[in-house]
Amino acid sequence: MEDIKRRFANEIAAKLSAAPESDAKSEMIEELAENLARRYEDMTAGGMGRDEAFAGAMDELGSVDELEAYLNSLEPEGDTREGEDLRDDTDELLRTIRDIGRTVGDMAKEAAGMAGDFFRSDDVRAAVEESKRAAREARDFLKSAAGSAWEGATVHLHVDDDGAVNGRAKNFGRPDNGDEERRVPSQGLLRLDVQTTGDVEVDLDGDPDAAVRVEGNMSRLDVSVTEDGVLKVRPLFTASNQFFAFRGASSQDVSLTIPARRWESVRVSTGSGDVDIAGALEAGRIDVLTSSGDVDCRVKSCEQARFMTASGDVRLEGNAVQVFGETASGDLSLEGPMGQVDISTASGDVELSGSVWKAHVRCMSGDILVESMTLPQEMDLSSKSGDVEARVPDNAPFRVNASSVSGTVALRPFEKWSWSGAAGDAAAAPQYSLTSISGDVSLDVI
Amino acid sequence: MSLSADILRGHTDTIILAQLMAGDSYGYEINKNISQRAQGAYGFKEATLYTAFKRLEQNGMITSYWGDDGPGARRRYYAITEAGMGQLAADRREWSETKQVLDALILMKEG
Repeated sequence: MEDIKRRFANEIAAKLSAAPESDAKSEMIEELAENLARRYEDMTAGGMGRDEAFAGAMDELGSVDELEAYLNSLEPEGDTREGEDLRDDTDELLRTIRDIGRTVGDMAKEAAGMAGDFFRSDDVRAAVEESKRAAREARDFLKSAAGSAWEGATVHLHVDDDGAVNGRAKNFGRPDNGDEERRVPSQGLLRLDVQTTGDVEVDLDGDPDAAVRVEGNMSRLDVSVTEDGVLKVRPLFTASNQFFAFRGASSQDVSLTIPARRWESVRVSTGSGDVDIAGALEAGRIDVLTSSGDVDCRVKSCEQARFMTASGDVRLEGNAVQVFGETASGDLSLEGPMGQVDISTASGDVELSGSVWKAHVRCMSGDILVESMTLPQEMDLSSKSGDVEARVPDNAPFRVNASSVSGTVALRPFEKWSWSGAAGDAAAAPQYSLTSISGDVSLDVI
Repeated sequence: MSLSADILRGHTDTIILAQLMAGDSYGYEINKNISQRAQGAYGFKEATLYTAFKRLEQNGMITSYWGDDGPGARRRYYAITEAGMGQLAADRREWSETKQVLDALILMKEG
């Protein structure tokens, strides 16, 4: 239920992206997402497919124009302050609450004086209690906020009509010279999105509740957390470092230590910097993009990994259900178990090992080597001028189409091939295609 | 059943107030009740309903509060105010008078 509500919230937030951020907008998104999630539940309970129900529920949202008009009509929120230091916020808020308390107290005294000792207005007494409670809540909240890892963050404070104090920390990356590390509480974080120009290192902390540690030059990096649980790291462009960044002279290295638990997605994009994802990362989706930087990625499990580089080499080790890779001159080396692999390179070499279920590899001049411990269900390998080589185990029949125009073709050992394409299971057997124009093609059964 | 959407739209606020007379409720439940009462022939888009809630709230006809319905189900409940009840009573009188006049004009028997 939570997941689907979040999905609706993301979808609505995207539709409302033109409206300015505010508490009213957050509440609007939450309320509408709850309604749509309930509608979705009813639809799926009635037998409708999930995708159809999601689209159907979204359709019931109607036009967002009137929502935007409503948000735009609101006055700027007077009791929410942004961009101030936490300590200033604390002091000012407590002062205000004390003042209110004093005024209410005076009123109470006056009322009691007027009515004599036998009578006290219940309303006045309730108001006094209310202001005391608000003050207590505000103090507790601020104490816990200041005492935890949130120090340095921008904190929004909001006192509701009913006296409850709500707080929200938004931006952990306030420029602060000389500060080389920032800690962000990891509760509620689902995704990681890093864009920079230098090296990126992602390490794991064994404690699943540990705070995320971001290390780097914090005067040049902006670290923030979005309401839907994305930790974002971006280069902070000031006039001077933007000048250098465009000329490649300024590169911001980032090192992140994240708790070892499942992440919905990890996305890293950099220029010439290397990307090193160490440890046993567990992620729904991993996306890595570099120009000349090399990528080294180890995963425990991942549903989808996508790599794109120009000249950077890519190395992946671990259990991945789907892998997509695209490079120009970068080499790719993947060690499974892997489900479906789709790779294309220009001059980069490709090497797949461990075990692979479906392999589709296309190269212009790169060499291809697939060495699988299990028999792949599909294998389609082709290079124009590179060599194509595959090694598979000898445990079930398969058929192969191996060809080269000017290179040699070898199927080894020769005596094995009597059963290739034979009757029996042959129709259901996997069919492989290994082709090259000027390169050599070989397939070994081991 | 073909309905005049214009006529219905003109009574959005009254329809919501009438629903809230039965007790506090939240967006989806209100919309579902409306749709059930109209036998599926009419229901509000969520955006329309939400802006109507905000309009009614700004005008003091309803109030709202966050209710906690278990993990992950924080819902905003709406409640009719005394001013809202007064407005609904006036709207109901007006509607029944309008309906009588319209019936007399539209369902007029010839001769």
